[in-house]
Amino acid sequence: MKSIIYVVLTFMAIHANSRAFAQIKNAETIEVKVEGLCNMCKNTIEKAGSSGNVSTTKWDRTSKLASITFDNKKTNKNDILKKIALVGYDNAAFLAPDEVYNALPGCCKYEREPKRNVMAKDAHQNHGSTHSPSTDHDQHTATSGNTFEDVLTSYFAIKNALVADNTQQATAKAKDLAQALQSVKMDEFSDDAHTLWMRTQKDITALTAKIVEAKNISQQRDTFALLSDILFPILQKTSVGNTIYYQHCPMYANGKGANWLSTEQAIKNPYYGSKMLTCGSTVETITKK
Amino acid sequence: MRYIATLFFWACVLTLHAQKVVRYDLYVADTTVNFTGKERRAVAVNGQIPMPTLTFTQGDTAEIVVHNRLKEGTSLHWHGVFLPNPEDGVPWLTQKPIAPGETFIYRFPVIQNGTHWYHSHSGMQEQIGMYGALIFKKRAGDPTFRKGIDDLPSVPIVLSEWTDLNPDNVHRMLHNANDYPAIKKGSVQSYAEAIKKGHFKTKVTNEWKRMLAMDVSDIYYERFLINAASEEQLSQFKAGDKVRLQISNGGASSYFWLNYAGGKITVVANDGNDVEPVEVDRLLIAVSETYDIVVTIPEEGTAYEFLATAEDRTKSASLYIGAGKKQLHAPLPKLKYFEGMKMMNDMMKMNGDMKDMGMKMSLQQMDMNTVMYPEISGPETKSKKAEDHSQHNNEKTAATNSTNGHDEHAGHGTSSTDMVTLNYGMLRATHKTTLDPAAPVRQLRFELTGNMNRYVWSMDNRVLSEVDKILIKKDEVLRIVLYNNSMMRHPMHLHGFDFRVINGQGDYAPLKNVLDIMPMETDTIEFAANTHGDWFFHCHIMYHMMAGMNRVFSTENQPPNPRLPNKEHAYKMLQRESNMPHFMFRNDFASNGNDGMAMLHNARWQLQSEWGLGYNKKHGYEVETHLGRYIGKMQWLMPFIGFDWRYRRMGHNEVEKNMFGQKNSKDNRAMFTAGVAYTLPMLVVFQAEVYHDGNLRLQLMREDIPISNRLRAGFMVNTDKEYMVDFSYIMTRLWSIRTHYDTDMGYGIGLSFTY
Repeated sequence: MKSIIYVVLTFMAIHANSRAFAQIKNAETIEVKVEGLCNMCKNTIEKAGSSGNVSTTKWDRTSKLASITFDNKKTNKNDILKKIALVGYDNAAFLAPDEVYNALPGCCKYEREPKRNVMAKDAHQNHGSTHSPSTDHDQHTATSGNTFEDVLTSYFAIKNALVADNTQQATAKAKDLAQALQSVKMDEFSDDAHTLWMRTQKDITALTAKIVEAKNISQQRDTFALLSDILFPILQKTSVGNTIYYQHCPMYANGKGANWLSTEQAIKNPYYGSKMLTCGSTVETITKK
Repeated sequence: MRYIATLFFWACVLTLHAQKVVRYDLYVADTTVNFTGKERRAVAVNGQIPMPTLTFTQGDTAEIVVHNRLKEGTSLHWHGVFLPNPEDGVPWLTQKPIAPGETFIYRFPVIQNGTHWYHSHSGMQEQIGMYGALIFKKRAGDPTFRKGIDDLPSVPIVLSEWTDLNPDNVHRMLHNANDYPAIKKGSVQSYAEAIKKGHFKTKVTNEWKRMLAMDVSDIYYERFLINAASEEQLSQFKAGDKVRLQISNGGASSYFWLNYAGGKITVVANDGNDVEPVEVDRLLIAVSETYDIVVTIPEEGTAYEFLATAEDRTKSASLYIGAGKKQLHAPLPKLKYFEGMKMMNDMMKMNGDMKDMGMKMSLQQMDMNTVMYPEISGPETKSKKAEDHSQHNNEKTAATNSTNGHDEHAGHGTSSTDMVTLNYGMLRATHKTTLDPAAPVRQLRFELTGNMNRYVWSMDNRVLSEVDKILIKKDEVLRIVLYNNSMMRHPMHLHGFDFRVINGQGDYAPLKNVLDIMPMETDTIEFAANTHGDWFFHCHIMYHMMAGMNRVFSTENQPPNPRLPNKEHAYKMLQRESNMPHFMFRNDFASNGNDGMAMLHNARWQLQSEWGLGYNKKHGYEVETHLGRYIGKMQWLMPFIGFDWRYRRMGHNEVEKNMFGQKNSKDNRAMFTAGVAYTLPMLVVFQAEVYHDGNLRLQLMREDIPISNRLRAGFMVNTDKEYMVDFSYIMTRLWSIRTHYDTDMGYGIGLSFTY
């Protein structure tokens, strides 16, 4: 019994070795134009276009021609050119995805052939018949002139920064908020809101400063949760220019939960950002007055 | 006279027009296909896969003649179609299977419009080719005709998948928790991988909670297909054209992400019902759903990739729309399984129930799987300082943005929070869908339940073979609340009716016939049961359906079905088909003997025999056979009875003593036994049994600990002072190299065969 196993193991070892030295069978060679600039491009293109004993690709920097040899029983020209396009290089058959091209290192950003966009003119008219929920962005909705609106605008900007997991942006927007807080006119509030504002103004300013000083995003989020809870009752008693949604994430801080305000009904959670973007629900809607 | 003739002629045309019979002849036959370089059996209709697209206009009478040229029974179900129950095409529920050689006629009036599809409802035939598009056009002058949508050039698209394995074998492997598909998919989630990715604790917690590796799908498919091709081009369209794709997901178990390289996707209909157009970046089409979408070709000389990626992201299929160079869409990045595992750990209680942490999830609006999507939650990070890293990344992208002058949206690159993904909350009907307020309402609640380890899928912890038909009254309104308390999503399909999905759109709640429900979600659907018959309600993942996740709604006092005279017997057949026994076999041909087991099991029962056969009398021969029944939803408890037989030549006067001091000196032993097996945290099986001579044996055992992608370990220890440790390396689906040490037979190495 033991000997059988040794035989099997030896056979497997030989088999594994033999594969490494194998040559391309049923070889067919083609020359195709592939865009690219530098030696880094050359490496990337050749790596994407070569795979074991199925295909090898050599790319020439000056002529921009790729010489591709492949086993025509196992693959074809288009499969290989698609792989090359998927690492960022436009070629005779495929155009690279924009995201992938954009992510290429600076030295590799070859000039792309301009496309003839027939849709440019009416691209934005298409919206006519479609209702697309929650595509308007917080930044664009608040109107200035009303200084409490400025406070809200900055608040929403901080929220969006937290949604995008962007600490620096959050800090910058908190600075804006600090500015806006200084110029709020009391007379624009209703009596109720006024009283509330007087009572909480100090806290709001302090919390805003804390967001500016915070060292990391989790501190900013903790503070932002407190800030949101203070702002909400004021908003309930204030006339607002846009519909505002009071939203809740039940998971934050180990299940204690946290709230935030948004101009969008679709949930974009500032407490987990991209990690759990759509976690949460709308608790209350403050409609336009 | 001539005048009368003309009149007569026109009268004829009119009646013809009103009752036009459209007939299709379908020849169902075995065929051989080659999707992967290997020849495999499939079923083709009229020589093609998918089955031919059948087109009717609302008002037509459909007459479909099925010629069964297979060696087995078949059937065709008209998915999403309102029809008389005997035409519904469910073998043993609405008809007998169409016998080999038989010709069978389905005939029904077409009383609706929209994109539907049809498929076999017999065995696994849907997996191997029996799916096709079924298009009901609006008639001319239909008041619901939408200019700019219904007059666009439209292309029926059927999505599907292909496995080189026989689907019956796939089904059997699923029930045996065979993890070879996971190896092929790279989703084993081994300890080595967990440590490498800084998720050791996550993996331990996961096994502590008695879960197997988490995945969004269970089957390894070699190919994903659009109209049975991996790639196809529609070069008849040019720049500026709008194209309507009538997509149905004919996959047996795969959800598909739909993306388009040429811009936004406008969703205009779902499950054959018009919805208010809604623009999205992408959508996930559940198994058996249909979506009508409109895409635009933005630029000249370019074809744009319409990319359908399987939910597990192992592979995809592409349709290039337009002529010229093909503009690709970026492939969807691999899932971050350990993030998903971490999320699952948080969501699962120790008793196997799901907890939603008060989130009231519904309608796909809160997709917990987002934690696994690198395109939304950022690329996988190796260390625990994930947050710091992602900040660095953001700084970098922010920097490149400003230098390159890109606008904010383009800069997101690898992760985006702006992407709009369709969910059921966004669907809004184009007309009021309210039901008759005077109709009596009956509310039903179903909890979707399941257990991954043994692949048992059920409703309220009952498989179809354990329940009767649910009797309903014709014309009453059924309001069904579904709660998914299992770890997988389920596309629940209702035969014969469209239901309203209560999604916050009020009177304009969308009509659907498939509801995808994610783990922990609660959804409400309602419909008027206005047609007599036995209507199937089931999970449309074929392997879940075959495991028993089905119910039948049956109207009281329904007229007899001429196609199925003996309904009681038929229902028994249906129940039997959804709880078939599965066989498993394993033997290790080792240097010190043969170790192995054979097992036959269904949803509740298990008959298992384990053996250890030495090469000499001293090592001995031993066979233990147990018959057990699994108890509870998670099936962690199994009481059993059994019979053990052993022959071993022991030394002179040698007496074996167990840890309780009970003696055993017989060389030849035959014992009845009774006991229980219970799965402990870390998936360790604790077994306690008493033999008929009063001896007690307690045992702990763990099999298949995933050390690395292909390396498994296991151990066993018991109070007879026996123990065993083994390691095996999985080479192929059937063979592994195994080395083990046990107290009976000593050290051994060998080849292990697993079926």
